[in-house]
Amino acid sequence: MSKMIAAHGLTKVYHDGKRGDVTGADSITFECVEGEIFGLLGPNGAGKTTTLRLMATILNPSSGTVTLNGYDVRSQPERVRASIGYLSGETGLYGRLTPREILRYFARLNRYPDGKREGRIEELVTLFEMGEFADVRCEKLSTGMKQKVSIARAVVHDPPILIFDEPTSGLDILVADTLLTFIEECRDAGKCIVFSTHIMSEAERLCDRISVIDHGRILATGTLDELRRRTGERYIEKVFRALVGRERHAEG
Amino acid sequence: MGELNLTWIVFRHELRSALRDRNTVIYSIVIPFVLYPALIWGVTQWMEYREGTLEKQVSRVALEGGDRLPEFTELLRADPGIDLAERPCPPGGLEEETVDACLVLSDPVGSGPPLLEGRFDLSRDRSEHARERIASHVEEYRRSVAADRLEGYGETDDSFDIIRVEEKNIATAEEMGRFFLSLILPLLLVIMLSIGAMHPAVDVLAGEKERKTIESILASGAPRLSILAGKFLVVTAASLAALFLNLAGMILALAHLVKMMGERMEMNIAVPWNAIPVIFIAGLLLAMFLSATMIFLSSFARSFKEGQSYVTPFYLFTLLPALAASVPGMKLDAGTALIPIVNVVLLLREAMNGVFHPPLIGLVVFSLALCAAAALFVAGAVYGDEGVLLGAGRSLRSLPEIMRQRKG
Repeated sequence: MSKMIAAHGLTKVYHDGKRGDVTGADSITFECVEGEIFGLLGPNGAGKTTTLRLMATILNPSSGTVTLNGYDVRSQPERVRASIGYLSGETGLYGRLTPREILRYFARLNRYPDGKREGRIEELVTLFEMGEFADVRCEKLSTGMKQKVSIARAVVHDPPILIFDEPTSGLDILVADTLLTFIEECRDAGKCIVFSTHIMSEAERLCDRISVIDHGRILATGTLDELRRRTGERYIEKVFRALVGRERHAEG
Repeated sequence: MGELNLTWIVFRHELRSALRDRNTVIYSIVIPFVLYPALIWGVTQWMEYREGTLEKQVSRVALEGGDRLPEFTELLRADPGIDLAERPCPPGGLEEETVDACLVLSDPVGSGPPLLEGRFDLSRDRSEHARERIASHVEEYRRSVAADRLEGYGETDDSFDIIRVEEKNIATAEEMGRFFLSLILPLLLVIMLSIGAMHPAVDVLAGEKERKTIESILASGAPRLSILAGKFLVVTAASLAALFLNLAGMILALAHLVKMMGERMEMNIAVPWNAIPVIFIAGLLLAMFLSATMIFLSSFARSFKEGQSYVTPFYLFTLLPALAASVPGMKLDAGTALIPIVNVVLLLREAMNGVFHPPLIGLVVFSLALCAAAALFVAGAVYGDEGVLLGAGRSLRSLPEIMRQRKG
């Protein structure tokens, strides 16, 4: 298994006019290999989004490094971006364009080969059952339809690494299940996937390894069984509570 | 695939999106092109309708003491457009709109002429029109009496022609047209370039944040500079489209108006061919400057509405130098050629009148190119700032800090 992501001491400090310096990610360190789903599990505001944005080169790290597919986010940001598919639950779509036009646009932006482009788009239209609305403007689509387009948009250039930031946020149970199934299929196809969530059942279903994160810091990393042994708890909610509670208790 | 190709991809995407946006189409295409034809057509139609309506309306006039000047009273009586009531004005008649004019003829004081007192309500069209009708009859009566009296002395009206005046305008119809265009075109150029750029400038960045598509594009494989360049080009194109469509609409409308007026208007509306390259270059550079500035201003906004509130004051601000340069006496010289917007207005004014000073044109081009480059540089720095892009508490006041970080 080749190493696809390696983060070492990744830190992001924001300057806030009212609160002064705020640490969004604090010495984040983890590795991830191909064919693996790596979960970042934490409450709202824990630093999951900041960490994923640093990996996607949307934010610049204050210190530390992270390489994706062998490319460094500081020195080779464009190569990093070409290697990833990024999707967050809050990602919007261009309302005046149709799904097919959006897929074509992002395939071109990500330098997907011209000769394969239309075939890839049709493949995704079929995979996500978008045929009925592939030529309808996105402003007229339902939330579930839009999320299918967003997922297809993130993977249209067939990147080796996928970064999903709370992708099921706001979705109904059926669309969420379609998405989770797709993520499992991507893992089976050898993709390296980083998946952030605060929904315990999703982490339990998908993640091969999990990092529990709070206040910008990773509290523990391991398989679910390893975390269970470490905390002495059986259910993932209890595991999570034990780790976060222990840390907060230690901080006083 | 080169970065230029990616810029072209972003440009095409933004253009397609803009052309599907009703507001952009209205502000950058429809209004600029149909504004003048619609205005001129609307105004002429309204004037014709107003005149026709007023002519059809009979003026209700109350005249007291009409027997003091029977010939004058007869003139009023004979006018089918006047419904003459030879009695005192009813109390409150003007206020209640039952009469349109109240006239009182008094006896002469001493050896003076009789006094005709008139009361009107000039805030009403109908009363104003009654006043005009009565005034024309007063003039007619005055001329008739004067002619009779002169005849008694063996004289005619011509005896009073002490001096004859003949005026001749040496300017040709083309020159008059150029002069007219030189007064309005430069100001319109600034206004239209700004209006054309405003909507897309806000849409390409603030709109992207509002639609929450910004992260998708930032996480794509395209370099940020290519993305910004594509967006900048589409805003500049919209700005230029607004200008040239407006220019075409205005010239078509004015030429039609001149043709309609016939010989009454000795003017030929046409842009001189040798001014076209100057208009194009000055327009292009100014469009680039305005587009880059509007993009950088709107990039601080988190929503379309907020973006408009950032860009609108700048648009109004651009009108000040444009108006200042329209003041008579202002000329293009080495000083004014360096002041952006002022220089464009003055340059175009001269070009429309067929005056070209190559060194000064060079200075204007240099000044505009420098401003456009500076605005683009700032826009690039702002577009590279993660706090601005993610709407994380950055405002215009953060600009010095952003520039320092960029330098660092």
